[in-house]
Amino acid sequence: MRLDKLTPDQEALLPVIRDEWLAVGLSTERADRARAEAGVRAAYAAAKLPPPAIVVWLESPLQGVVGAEYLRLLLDRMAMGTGDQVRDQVWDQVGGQVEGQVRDQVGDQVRDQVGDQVRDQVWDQVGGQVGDQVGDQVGDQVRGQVWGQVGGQVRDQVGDQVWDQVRGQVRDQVRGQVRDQVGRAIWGQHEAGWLAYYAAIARFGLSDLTHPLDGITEVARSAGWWWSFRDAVLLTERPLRVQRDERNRLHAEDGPAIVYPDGWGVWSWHGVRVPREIIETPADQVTAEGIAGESNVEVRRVLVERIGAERYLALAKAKLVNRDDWGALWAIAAPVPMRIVELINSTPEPDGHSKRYFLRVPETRERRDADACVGCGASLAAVPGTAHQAVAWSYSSCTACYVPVVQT
Amino acid sequence: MNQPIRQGDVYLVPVDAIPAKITPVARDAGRIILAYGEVTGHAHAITAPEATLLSATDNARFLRIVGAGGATLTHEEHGAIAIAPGEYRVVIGREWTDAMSARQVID
Repeated sequence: MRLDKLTPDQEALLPVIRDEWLAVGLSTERADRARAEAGVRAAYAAAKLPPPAIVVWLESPLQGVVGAEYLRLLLDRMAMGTGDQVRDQVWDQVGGQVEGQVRDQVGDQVRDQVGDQVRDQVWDQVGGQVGDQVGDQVGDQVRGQVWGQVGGQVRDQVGDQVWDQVRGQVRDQVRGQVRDQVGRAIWGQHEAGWLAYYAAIARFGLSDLTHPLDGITEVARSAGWWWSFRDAVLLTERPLRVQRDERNRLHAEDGPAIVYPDGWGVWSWHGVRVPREIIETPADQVTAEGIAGESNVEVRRVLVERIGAERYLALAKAKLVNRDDWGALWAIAAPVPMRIVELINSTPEPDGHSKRYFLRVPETRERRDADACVGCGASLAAVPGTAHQAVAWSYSSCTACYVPVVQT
Repeated sequence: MNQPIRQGDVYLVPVDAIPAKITPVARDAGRIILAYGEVTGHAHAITAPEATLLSATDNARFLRIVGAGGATLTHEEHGAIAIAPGEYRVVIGREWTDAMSARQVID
């Protein structure tokens, strides 16, 4: 059969299916291990593979990434099987085959309708806001830690001179292998977006075509991230908590916004991933020194927002130098004398408040390097005296040249 | 002359000419990335094939947009901006650091 137009009853089901899959994607229940393992066997069968002999459960995506690389090496070395990974067969090939067949049988109108009202909405909230952040956090963390340790060991063994030559290669290899395991993960519940699309199509009568996806759909409904090997499967738990703001971005003011049973998680302020201490340091222990020492502008903004911009200005013993249409220029005394310009984001947040950024600008005339305007080549004001001069300086421009008309 | 454009950290200044010694910068998965957000993974990006990112010998970067239609600069948390055809210097927002001061010794 072909699906060219949805009936009113089917249309009424779209928000129901969307909500059902949002619940899957954001579930904080313990994994249903029996159901997930049955799903794995069905997924392997759909890919014409025998079921994996070894089943390993771990507690978080971070454990999963490290565990998957360990399992791959173990399988290769211990003659227990092969470390070959079969994500391509289980996932890409089966998915691609179903996608092609469904595409032939579903009209444009239905595809757009289900795409907009189910797949994209679930993807935005689950894959975009949660899955991507989890993946980025795992990637950054493992890369940082593994590189730190492996790099140090290699350096000790080879000495500084050789180290300078091989450093790049070692780093690329370590990063490459870790990134591979992040990339070889199947996101389980965080794949809810596109699986929701096929679940809807199945419910509207094309379940014969979507049948090969039943296995991976079962895993998504019952577990977190997983890794597939020819002779083994590694599955992981779902988070214990997922906390979001009114725009569905990961956000928690008192701890991790997402946390797994092993304690690993993501600390996030309105969708901006930050180090744990940025969220968990009690507001009354945040100091002007701590804020000035934060080199990342976005993380610094989060810290200031947490304690309140007025409190920060008081801590920093700020005196207003100038306020104009561009922002406010402050001379601060703590922890050391500095000039900072306060800028208000030109794109307001949906709730009406605008992000306030504090950027450091020159407080001294002495320069290591000449500082010329990128527009006209004129020398820049050595110490900005107005907010306009300060913001122009931050874009390497004089005030005459810094006049962006299009600004978002 | 085109107008200067700002989107968050990225500032595009129209220029009359770009340096003669210049090399194209490879795209990242099909996109020109003018700047990555360190924290969010978001990016100031252009997909239009009419756009080319160029790097001069002093590491200054330029954007060249050919054809009549121009290109669009996108970012996950900012409004999209149309960029008119032409040549631009790409400036990324900066902050003052102690290292920029002549009083500081850099090792």
